[in-house]
Amino acid sequence: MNDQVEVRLRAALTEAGDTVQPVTLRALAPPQGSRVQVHTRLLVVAMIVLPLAVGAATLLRPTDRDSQLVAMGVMGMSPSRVLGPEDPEIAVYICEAQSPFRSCSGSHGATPQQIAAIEQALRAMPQVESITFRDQQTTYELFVEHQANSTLAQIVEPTDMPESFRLKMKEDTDWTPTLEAAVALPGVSNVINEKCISEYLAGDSDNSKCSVGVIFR
Amino acid sequence: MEVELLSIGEPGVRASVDVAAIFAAHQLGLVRLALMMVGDRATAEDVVQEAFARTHAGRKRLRDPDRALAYVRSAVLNGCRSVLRRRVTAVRRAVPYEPPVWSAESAALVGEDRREVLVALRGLPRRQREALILRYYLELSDLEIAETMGIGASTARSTIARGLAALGRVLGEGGKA
Repeated sequence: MNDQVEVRLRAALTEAGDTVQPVTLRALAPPQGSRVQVHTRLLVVAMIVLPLAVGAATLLRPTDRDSQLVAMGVMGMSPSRVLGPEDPEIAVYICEAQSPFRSCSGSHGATPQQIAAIEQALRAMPQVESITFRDQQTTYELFVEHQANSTLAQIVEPTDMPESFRLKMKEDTDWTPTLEAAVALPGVSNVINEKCISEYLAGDSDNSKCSVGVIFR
Repeated sequence: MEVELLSIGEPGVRASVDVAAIFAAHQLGLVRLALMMVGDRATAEDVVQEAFARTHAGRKRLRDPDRALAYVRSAVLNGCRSVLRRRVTAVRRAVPYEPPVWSAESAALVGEDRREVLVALRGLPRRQREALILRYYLELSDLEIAETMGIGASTARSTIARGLAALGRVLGEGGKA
């Protein structure tokens, strides 16, 4: 019967296990590299990837052990990107696991079904001309490319990056309904009008109107 | 635009689990678990060290402290899987650092019967092998095994049953031939 097999298996495993004794165990080395908590990393990433006009002073609380990194994030917020005429204007960010945004709280990131539903909903919008998906790896590569600060580039990992849909919009349409409808979709963390950001950087616009739904939890 | 910045370092929002403490407390068991999977002790210790480094500092913060050990076991299990995958593809080392625990050359394991069981175990499909080790070495429940392996409890149960039957066949005991 299987009883006998169980007995032999237990005995064999026990004996194999006993070959490792505590006294001879190699000590665990203290972990190398970043001790920065994932939440802070994601927050910093969010601030840079999504060019948010967050008041730096609000963030910098000296008691926070990660405040230095956050400060780096704030400094890195001024993006160098200039939107070309062919570039998609709207970025719809997808909730990743442990996203720092309130719209994503309670989830472990958007599910594949949610992402598919988001795409479907975006494609159905009349103001949208075309849609592309930007994955974590691509976002990471762009991040590292734009991020002269190598310390930050070393700390973050591709999996920290949010995925996003990029919307190329039709000209002479009102984008507001798209922005508002997109941010309400389950699994969307927030929506950024990158054209608006680009204009803001050129001094032509008020940055406060460039993003929808940005609330950190 | 409304921005609320409440979260950084705010206590109580998320229970934090000290991964380092868990590894320290369970290092021996984790190394032994890895040993069953990968065969040699040096690799087993490497796997645990690596799992420790990867999970340290809240790389993956656990919301539920009760699940911390299961999470850490999973990390070790995943490390073992990576090692085994690499071994399949990588060029073998010219000189093995240490003979596998189930090999005839291993001086560590004395009993011939023990060796036979381990060799048979090693021949099982990966999931069956993992499930059997988690059950018969760590004596985990179906639920704990399911959690560690990232599968359903009923799958864990059936995997154990199939693994045990397969092992019995190989060892020439019970069941169908």
